[in-house]
Amino acid sequence: MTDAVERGATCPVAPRGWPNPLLPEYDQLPEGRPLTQVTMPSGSKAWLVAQHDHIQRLLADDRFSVEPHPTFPIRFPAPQELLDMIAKDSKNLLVTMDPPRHTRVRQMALPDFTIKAVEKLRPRVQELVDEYLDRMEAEGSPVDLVQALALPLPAQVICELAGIPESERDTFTRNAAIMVGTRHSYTMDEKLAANEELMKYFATLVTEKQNNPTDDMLGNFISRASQTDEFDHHGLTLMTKMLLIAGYEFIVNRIALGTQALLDHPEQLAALRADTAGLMPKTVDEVLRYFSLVDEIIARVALADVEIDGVTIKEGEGILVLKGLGDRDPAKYADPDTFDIHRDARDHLAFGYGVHQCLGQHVARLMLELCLTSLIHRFPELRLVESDEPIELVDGLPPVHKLMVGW
Amino acid sequence: MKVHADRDRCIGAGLCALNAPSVFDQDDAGLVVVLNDSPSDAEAADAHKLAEHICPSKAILISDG
Repeated sequence: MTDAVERGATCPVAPRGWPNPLLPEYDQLPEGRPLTQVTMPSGSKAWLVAQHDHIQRLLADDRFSVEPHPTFPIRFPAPQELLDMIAKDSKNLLVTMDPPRHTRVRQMALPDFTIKAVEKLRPRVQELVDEYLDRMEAEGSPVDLVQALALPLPAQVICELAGIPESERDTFTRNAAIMVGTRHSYTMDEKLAANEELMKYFATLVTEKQNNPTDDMLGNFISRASQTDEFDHHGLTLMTKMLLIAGYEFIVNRIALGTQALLDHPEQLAALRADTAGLMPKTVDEVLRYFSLVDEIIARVALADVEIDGVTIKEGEGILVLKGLGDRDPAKYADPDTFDIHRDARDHLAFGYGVHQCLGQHVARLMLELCLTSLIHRFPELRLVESDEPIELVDGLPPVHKLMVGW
Repeated sequence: MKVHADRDRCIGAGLCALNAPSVFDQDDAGLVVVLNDSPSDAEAADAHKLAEHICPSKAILISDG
């Protein structure tokens, strides 16, 4: 899974390095990064899409499907048994549904993810950030920012959104961390066991919330979904599990990587301290753009022949969207490999594009904003501390294990 | 110029309300609402950027006059 492979033969997949998290194989893509045809492990054809403009146009095009299809581009060699399981589970997941069902299901969750709904969380999230920073200060310099803030904060926020009781949070956070790969040393067996435990937990939680509706994000979603015939109990369990763990790893990493990027750029950090209200929105978008790393999970299959820039993507062929590259597209962003909080990066692709754009993006923005703001003001002398464990971003979902900071 | 929003296309990403709050809002269901369909020049620039690049479901439409 980590071997680089020849362009034109199969899809490039490789471990990501630090400080340049982009795949070295991407350097082999043609100048200007037009669409490049590759052959997937299954033998079907797919196109790598790496230009910002192409990515936006294709992901907004309803002639591409995200549902299981015989030639859907899957980047690893998968036994039929696993494909059948994915196909079965995918019927219940928002991320693998096409409209119009996708539209109906997304709207069941949407009212709790609007800007106004998320703004209501602001005081509580700030309180939590302050508590974690109190503990961090009490522990004394240096600390591992991942364990002190980046990991526990999103876990706590997600548990509160879901109405998961305090006594049950360890079960959720421990298993979610194993499943999403926050520590990449976990084996596949451990991940499957964690998934099984989470499924059992969520099956019970769904039943509880169906019997005793609660006014929280998950309770509201389950109430709305239970009034329709969109899901059976197993489907609702899968869907609620996905809603809660979808953005977990993403936000843990962005808090750590964003802090690291600011500490690596002292002049920008000074400007941000001096005008936090003015620059923080841009900073959040730049952190999202610069670390827009999760490329290979965005794939589609064409339901019709689609022409783009003189290239015809034929019906049944797939696309693989390299949004990490799209967000470093020099045709879109000047000097794209430079971290610059002054640029306008609002149209980055970090949350995807098209109808599947991340439902929880405002929750992620809020956590990132409050963590960065509080950190830089609470610790004016904040600095990176040499660690004997280098930052390592590993394959698809890049975990950041450790970020030592001092003050 | 006139700003129009297609609520059937809207997926409630909310980026319009985030980036141009004087022109767009989200209703309680999360769908786009146009607050001001004839924005000023500065607001119009943001509305154009939203329509062309930011709105992920292409639900914002801009016409002349």
